[in-house]
Amino acid sequence: MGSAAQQTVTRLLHELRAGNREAFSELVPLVYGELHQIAGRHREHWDGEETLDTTALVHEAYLRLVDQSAPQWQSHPHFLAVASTAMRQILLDYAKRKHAAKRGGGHQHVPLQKIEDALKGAGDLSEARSEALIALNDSLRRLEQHDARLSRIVECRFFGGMTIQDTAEALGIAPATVSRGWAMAKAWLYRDLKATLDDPL
Amino acid sequence: MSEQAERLFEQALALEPERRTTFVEDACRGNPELRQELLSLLGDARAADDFFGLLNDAVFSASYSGVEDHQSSAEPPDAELHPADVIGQYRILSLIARGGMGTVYRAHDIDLDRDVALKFLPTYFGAQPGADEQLLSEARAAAALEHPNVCTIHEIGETDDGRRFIAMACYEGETLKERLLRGPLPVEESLAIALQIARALAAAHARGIIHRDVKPGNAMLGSDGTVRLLDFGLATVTTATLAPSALTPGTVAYMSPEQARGDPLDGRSDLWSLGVVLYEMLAGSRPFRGESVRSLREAILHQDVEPISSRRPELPDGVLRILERLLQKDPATRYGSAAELLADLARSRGTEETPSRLGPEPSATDGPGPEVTAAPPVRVVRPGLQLRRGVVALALSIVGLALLGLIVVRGHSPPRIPASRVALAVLPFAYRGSPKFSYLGEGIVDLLSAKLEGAPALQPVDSRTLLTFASREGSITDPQRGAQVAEHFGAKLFVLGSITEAGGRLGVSATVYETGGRPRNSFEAMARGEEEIFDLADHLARQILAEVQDEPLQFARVASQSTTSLPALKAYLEGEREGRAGRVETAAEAFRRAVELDTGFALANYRLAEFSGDTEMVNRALRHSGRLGEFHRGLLLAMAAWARGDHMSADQQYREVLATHPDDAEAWIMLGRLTLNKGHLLGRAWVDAREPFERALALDPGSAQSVWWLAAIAAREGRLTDLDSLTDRLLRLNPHPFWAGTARGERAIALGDTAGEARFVADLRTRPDAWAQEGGGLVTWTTGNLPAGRRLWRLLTEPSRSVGMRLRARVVLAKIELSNGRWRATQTELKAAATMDPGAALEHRAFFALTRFLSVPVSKLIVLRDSLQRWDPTKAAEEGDGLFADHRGLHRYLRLYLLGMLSARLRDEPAALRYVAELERVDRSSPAGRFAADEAKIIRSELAWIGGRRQEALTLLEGARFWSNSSAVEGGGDSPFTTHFHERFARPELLYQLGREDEALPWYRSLTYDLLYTGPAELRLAQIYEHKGDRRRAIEHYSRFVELWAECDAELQPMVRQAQQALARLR
Repeated sequence: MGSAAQQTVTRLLHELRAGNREAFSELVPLVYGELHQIAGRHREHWDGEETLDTTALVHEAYLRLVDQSAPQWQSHPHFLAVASTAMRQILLDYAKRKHAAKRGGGHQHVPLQKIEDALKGAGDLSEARSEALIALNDSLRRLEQHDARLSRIVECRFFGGMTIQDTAEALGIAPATVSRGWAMAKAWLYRDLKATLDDPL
Repeated sequence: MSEQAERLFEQALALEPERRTTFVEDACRGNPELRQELLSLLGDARAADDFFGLLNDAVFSASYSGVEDHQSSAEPPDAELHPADVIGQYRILSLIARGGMGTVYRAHDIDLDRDVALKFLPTYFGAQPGADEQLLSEARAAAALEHPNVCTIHEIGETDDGRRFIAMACYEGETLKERLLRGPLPVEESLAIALQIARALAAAHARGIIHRDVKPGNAMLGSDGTVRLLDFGLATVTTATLAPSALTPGTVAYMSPEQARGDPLDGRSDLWSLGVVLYEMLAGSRPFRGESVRSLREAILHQDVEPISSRRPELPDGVLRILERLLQKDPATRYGSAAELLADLARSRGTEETPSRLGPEPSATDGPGPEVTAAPPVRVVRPGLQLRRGVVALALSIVGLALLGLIVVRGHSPPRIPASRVALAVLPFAYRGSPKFSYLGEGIVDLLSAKLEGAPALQPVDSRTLLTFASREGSITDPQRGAQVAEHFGAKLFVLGSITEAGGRLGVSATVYETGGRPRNSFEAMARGEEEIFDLADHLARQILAEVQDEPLQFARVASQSTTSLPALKAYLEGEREGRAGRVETAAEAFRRAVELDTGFALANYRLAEFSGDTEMVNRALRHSGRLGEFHRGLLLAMAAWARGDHMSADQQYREVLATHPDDAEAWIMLGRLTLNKGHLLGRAWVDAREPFERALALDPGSAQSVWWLAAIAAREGRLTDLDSLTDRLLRLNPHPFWAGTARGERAIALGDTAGEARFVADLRTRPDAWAQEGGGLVTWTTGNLPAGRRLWRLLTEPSRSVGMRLRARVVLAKIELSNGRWRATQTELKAAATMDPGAALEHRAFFALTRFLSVPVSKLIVLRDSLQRWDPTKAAEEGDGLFADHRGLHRYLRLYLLGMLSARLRDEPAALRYVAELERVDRSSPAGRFAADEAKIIRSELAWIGGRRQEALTLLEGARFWSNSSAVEGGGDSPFTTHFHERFARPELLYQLGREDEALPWYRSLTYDLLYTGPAELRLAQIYEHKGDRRRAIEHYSRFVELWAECDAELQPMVRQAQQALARLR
């Protein structure tokens, strides 16, 4: 039947599915905790240029947290949505640690073009993505103010790697809405990133 | 962004790209700032896409779910024009094409009354200052070029709302890009096309115009044979202002290294691009491949080109040198000018080229010159010489293909006959008399051979093989001829004789000769009538035996092989005759009659089992086999083992029999077919059937079946000259049209003969399902040419085919796609299958999701499991479900297998074990029950593996019998379940992980001749050989892997890159 913790998570997921938004904020720390622990094993790789297999991490967390004996496929998208939020936080942590190590805490903007070039291979990839993640996080916070649903879509699609279908199900909206929202959000974020990073402050 | 702009942006995104500009125009009427903002937003959307893609790649490891639906954001808005719209003097007729570079319409020039093509650039280019001017000057220059190989530009115009367009001459025909979709071109044609493009380039370069975008999409192949290069100089505009996301792999693939770096260009850049095009024409695929722009660019800048000779070994050196020089990364070492290239091209075609001429060229050597092949001569089909088939088919498919890998170790010497037995050949007796008894001429051979078989001292040459051989030699009456035939079979003695009939009485005389031609002894016998033929044969046999040895004779056994019933004997002999002539059905019928007349007639029973392929008959023959000779007994045991699914024993059994009886062509063929069909279950590759078929052919030069399979093996191994001559040889034997047609098709595809392939395809279209499927499938599989395979199987998805056929075709196409590492394409095929039969499609979706090199998202696995749980397989018709005959009655167990495996993958051990238990409960006495038990073992093995208990996993896997009562031939489109792909790959993987690489090798090898795991098997082989230090083989396998997976999904590209790095290391 699953451990006590599993029962809690399963129950919360059930509530989330039923529409209780608060269940979401209760779940995030639980999932975050688990993910953090699991991902900790992979951190050294990340500090190099390795990519993070978030799918595997999330799945492992899923197995640990959710009671497997109950039919789970219905709440799986919801779990993923929570995990996406948690994953955003984790990646931000990593990026900040890397960033701080490099610059000794001072905050200086790297122009967006330079980040893009580095991501394409003409520069320090590891540094560029940390910069990008930090900047993205800030932009995302601003987007949240502007339109919370769009920021949730970004979390699901980008940080969680969720499909349009799963995202739609988790957020309770139509897939077409997800598609459009994703496109809108990306454009918005990109502009915001450009404005912030290229602004000579 | 302003709120209004944002709102409009959102609305615009909801529209289809074509409608967007109109929407923008309408919404922003009278408000140029808003329009500007909106357009730039839409432009930004593309840049954003690119950025997020980059970041995604940099942060996350590949997984499928995040990447799909990636292109959901806005496409750049494009104006759409409609038929009957009028722009200046042009009236729009239709849309020709839409691409990243703009939209092309067909229009009618009202003033000049001719049709033209109007090309519009994408609107966002119009927003860039200076773009217009560039466009103008370049286009003017190109318009000034008057050359037969350059597309004529009439004018550059402008619409009322300020959009520029180019009016060009309209050409009939297709682009080279479309042509290449059908496969590579013959050498002649490729060179001719390259020549014309080179001429166009020479003309342009002479005027200082660089094309910048030479690619197949820009080469128009006119129906008159002329090649025209389009889009001159336009690329300057576009590349200068191009948003990075508009660069698609299709555009980048032809870029020269200097273009990829953004360095200044000159004409040599165009020559590089032409080199890429030439390569593609000859090889059928591009020299540089990559899923993303980035990886492609990498490849162009740093990767060595894979030598085209591995793909087209027959290319002349001249062509290879041209290609090499065109694809030099450093422009300094490339051809300095188009003129230089022209000279070389002309030389390789054996003509002279005068590069300075820009005017029209003489037509004789111009044009692509499609291959003209004479129509195959009409043949009169001689009755009877049909390919023998059906023998122990057991699969009961019309061709009873079996591809077993028989592997006799190379260097193995031909089996020796034990010295104590003397080999003797009984040759057909000459016959004179009433036609009623003429069958005795050959019949006596059968009888005598059968009788002598039982004697320990003698070993008669197999009568069937000998008679088949002899029938082509014409009558053999003199000892010299006889000696030759005997020698052919390795016999030391032979018997020649004659039968004379007069008034119903039969007189027989026989002489035993030594192979030198010297007679040893003669015998005579007399029979008062036909019914005394047994005694007569007995009598003769004794005398022959006495001649050979002094020991007392053991005849009891000998005599009982045949029958005491004359009608039964006659029926039997008739069966033998029919069988030799290849008329399988009549032969089976005759043997059936013989057995009805005399149930204990061992030999007739044996033959019946052999010709009917019926398990019932096999068992029956076994029951009566006590009186069979050792030779036939051995073959029968082999047959029985095969029927049971005990392929190891069958294989061993055949080898034993052939060790002592190496002269039976049919037995060699059986061995060959076991190898073809079941080799993969014995760790062999089907091409290892070569030796048995060669032996069979040596004994029976008229064995069309052997020739066919040897040709197929030659095709697969790339021995194209052998393929060619074997195919010719086969066609001379006048086989059944099915074999002739598939042989031709196979040769055409293997040799890249597109006209031949087209003929084959056209023929298949007219054939019924079973024929088309077997034919197309066989050829796909023997040539190993997956692009061709796709084309052939696509044929079978046409609406005229039955639903069952179309379903099966989709499954096979799914397998083909996955063999190229294209999981998304696999899913597309399965989706198509789902529209026809959701239940069957569900099973197959689950099956494919279990593929080992894929990392299918957990959510998908969960959904599949859930759907399967809810699916009720009893609804699937137990009989005739139209998909795979093997599945009849097995759906319940397949479902459990899938559920168990999915649970295992989800690490849900309790659930997996539940399914195992259910499978183990099935009654094992039925065939389905045995199947269920094996599947249970497989699931247990999977659980053990996932739990890290590899040895246990391996033991369990080896204990499971890979169920297959049908052939493994993909060509037959057999069920992927019963061909046990996942398990066949699991086995060597486990061995590999346990460090037992040598043992894993043959298993991986067998997979490389198959579908699905072909790629990973090559990769593993490469890794193992690299580890062993066998550089040559490692390179070979890495290359094959990279080639196979060149177009694979992005998520699998890392494996390809790994292999490319390895190649770089090794070379």
